[in-house]
Amino acid sequence: MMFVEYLKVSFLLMRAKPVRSILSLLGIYIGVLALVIIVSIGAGMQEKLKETFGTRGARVVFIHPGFDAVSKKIGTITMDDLMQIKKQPEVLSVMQRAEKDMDIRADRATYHTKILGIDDAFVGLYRIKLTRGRTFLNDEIERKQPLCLISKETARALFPIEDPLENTVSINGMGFHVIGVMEWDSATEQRTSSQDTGVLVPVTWLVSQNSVNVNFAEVRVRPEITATRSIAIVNNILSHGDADRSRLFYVRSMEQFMQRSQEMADRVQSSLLGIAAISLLVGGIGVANVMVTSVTERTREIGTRKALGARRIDILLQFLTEASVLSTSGGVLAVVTGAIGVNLAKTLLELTTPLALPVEAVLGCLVLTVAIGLIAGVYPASRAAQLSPAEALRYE
Amino acid sequence: MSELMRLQEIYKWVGDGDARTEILKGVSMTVDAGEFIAIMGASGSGKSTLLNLIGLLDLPSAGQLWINGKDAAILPEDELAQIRAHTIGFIFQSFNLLPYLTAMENVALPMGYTHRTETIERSRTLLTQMNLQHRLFARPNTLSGGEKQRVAIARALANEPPLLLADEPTGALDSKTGIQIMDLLGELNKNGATVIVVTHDENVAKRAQRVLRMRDGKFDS
Repeated sequence: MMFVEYLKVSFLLMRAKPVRSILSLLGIYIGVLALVIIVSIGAGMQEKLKETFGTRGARVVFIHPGFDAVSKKIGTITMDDLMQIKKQPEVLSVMQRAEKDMDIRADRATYHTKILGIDDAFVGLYRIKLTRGRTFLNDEIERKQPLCLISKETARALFPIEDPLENTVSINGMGFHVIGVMEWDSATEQRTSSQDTGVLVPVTWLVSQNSVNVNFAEVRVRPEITATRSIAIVNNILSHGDADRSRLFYVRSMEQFMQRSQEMADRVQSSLLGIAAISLLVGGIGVANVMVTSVTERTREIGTRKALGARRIDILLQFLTEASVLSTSGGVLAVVTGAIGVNLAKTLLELTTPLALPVEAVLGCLVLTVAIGLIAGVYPASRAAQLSPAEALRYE
Repeated sequence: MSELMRLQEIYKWVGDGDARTEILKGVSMTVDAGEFIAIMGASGSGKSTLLNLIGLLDLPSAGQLWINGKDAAILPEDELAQIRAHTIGFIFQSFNLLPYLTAMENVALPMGYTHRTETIERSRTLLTQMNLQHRLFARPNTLSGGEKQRVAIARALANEPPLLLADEPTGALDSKTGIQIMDLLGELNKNGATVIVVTHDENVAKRAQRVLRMRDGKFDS
């Protein structure tokens, strides 16, 4: 099998001229490394999207209050409407949230922060990390129990010395028992899309306060119901049979939401890919350049091979193989260092954007470098194949 | 004796019009199987060009060249390559061994172009016949001139070609080593190979059965 022979010669030549080989595959190396980094960031964002918007099999519809430009009115999501939605046979659960910036008082300190009104599913669904204590029970939410979870920051501000658990804070003149301490880090902020939250209280209590309304609700529908149908069910109840009223709410499905994030991620990805493509082009030119030099230097070798019986196709394949081996070596090195780098970055740095390197991407990179090598090798290899044997043997 | 090759009124020129230079001016000869022919002449007499044509490395500008009864001028280049692989063994003045391959790999090289099997075994046998059994894995830059030429002869014999062409095979060797190489070629001829040697060394030519002298693109007659 001549191909094995060509491969062997390619590696022998790389070993014989290490500096030149390394310089020529550097361009490919950098290009593929850029590609690996871009792909792993892209794949990481994809994973992140899935993690952030993961619905565990249910179909999810979001409700936000909206502003109707015609009637100049802002929509109010009422607890009654949400109860109505919850009663629909297609609906699995309804989760509502309200928020307000308020002062929280303890014995010796006051802290101004955002208070989030939540229900009993919230902590589990958004994977809120509790460092101490427990979460709310369904019954406690329904009965507007004055209980709260506070963030580590709030705990530090209000209870620098004392144990926050078993203590009481005062919100709007009402005493709240602290049942737990939670972590509200940047990952949590992204999952819940709620920044700088210091305290969680039952949503039922928060919406009973003056000028506080539900500002967001999440409706989980049976997975077999289509997105359009789910939105229609929700809209139907919110509108109270009045089409004008439905303009007061934004009702969107998770798919629509994800699509927008996806489009943005795709746009970033494709512009980065353009940059990688340019460096791969430059790398390919580097390989072609070295191959042209190699063909000139080895003119006598080509003449000898032809004298010994090599056909044009034999010479062509040999130089194409050499170009591909050169280019693919750069690609393999880049993928290996890229994979090591990605894993190091994953473990050493606490990245907000996770990285991932899918197998298909690695294979894709390698196929790409083989292709670049073949394209870069076409001109030098065909020049070598066309050489007249007598002239090539005369070459000094 | 059977005819291996026939050249009829061969012309070879380079360039066109006023710049045209004629290197061969009407050369005719036949090569029979089993012959040992020496082609002699001063440099520039056209002997190396003639050898290139005999070796099918180049085609004549005019005239006809028959190899095994086929007209070389109408054969496609790849078929000429196949004829070279199976029929002709080349021995060069400067050896033309590939520097990055071992002696065995150099010998195995032409067998790749004829898709022979057991190339490793055959390379070893040929190098042993050349008394190089201790140099099988040596690279050319570690070999002496005589050793290099013996590796090159082993390579030329790899595909058992009936015709061996040697272009100044002793030109780069000292006289003692040159004699050994010529002994080797004489022996190969005795064993049935047709040998054509291009040389300007009378001592080399003496060993041939037939000496053709060239001057200014023609045979002396």
